[in-house]
Amino acid sequence: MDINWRKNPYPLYLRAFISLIVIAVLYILIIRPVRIKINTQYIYPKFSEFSISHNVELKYSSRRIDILQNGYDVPRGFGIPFGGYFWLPLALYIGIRNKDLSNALIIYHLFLCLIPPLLGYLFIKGHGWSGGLLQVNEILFQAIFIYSLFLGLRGFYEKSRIDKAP
Amino acid sequence: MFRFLIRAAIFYTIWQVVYDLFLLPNGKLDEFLSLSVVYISKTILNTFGWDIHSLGRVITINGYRGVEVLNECNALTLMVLYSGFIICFQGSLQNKVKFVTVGILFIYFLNIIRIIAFSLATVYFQPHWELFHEFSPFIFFYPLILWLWYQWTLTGEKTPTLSTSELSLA
Repeated sequence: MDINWRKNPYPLYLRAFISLIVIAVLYILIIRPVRIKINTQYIYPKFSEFSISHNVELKYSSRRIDILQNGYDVPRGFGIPFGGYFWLPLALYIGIRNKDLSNALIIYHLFLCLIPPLLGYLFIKGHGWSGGLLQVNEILFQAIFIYSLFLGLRGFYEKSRIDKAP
Repeated sequence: MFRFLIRAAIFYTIWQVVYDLFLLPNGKLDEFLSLSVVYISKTILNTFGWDIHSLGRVITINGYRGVEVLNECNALTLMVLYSGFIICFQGSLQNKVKFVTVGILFIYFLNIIRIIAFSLATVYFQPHWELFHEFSPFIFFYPLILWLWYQWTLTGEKTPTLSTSELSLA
């Protein structure tokens, strides 16, 4: 007798709930401290050293790099990727088993590992345009997070309707 | 979906450039949003009998710590994020205007409630204030924005001239 173990072993609500709880626990216990450690021990010291050599002020934050360039009132910077804004939508995507959206989110955060630090580096070096792009990155980051959440919740809602259908 | 994302990215990029070059240096829009929220929050709390005063952007319940409404706290970014989705997703102009207006007003009033909640938090759970502040968008803004966006996609799908694949989940 063929049994497809992957075919709905648990109801959708339970799957989503388990996924959210497991990821929340993992995030609080492991991921958040690791992000803070990576920033505090590796990223921030590197940027700090570099900014001191260029006479630029760097504001310390455990999960961000904020650069206060001369002549700018507001600091420009970037957050350390793979934070809560990654894991919350991912938990939803795992719950609804949407591989495409999960992959897209992972690729976006890999992109965030490279481009914003590069822009930060250029901003410290005095390229003003990169500060503007850092600001654009900030608003797009928030937009993509809310949109990811939207797609996850909408996917959940539509799947639950399909599951309920006779 | 890809076309929508490109449109949205262009919209937010243009907004950020306009904000950085004109609105931020001018400061009037941010100031209006912050000061009006402070004024209305103070009036509401006064009406409910709280001994409260404000100075500029800072609102303080007497005897407790003040709450400052910075540019980042006046909900302008969220208004733009919300509107960007509505504008970039297909739909009739009339409906877009309606959704954008209603959404911005909702966000504005929710921000007043949020600032009132922050003030009351200084009285009732000051040790957890930072945590409350960090997660406040999840309580006050995101549920409304996500619900309005969902309503908007339904409105878009009901319009016969629109492509229903615009927001397919693949």
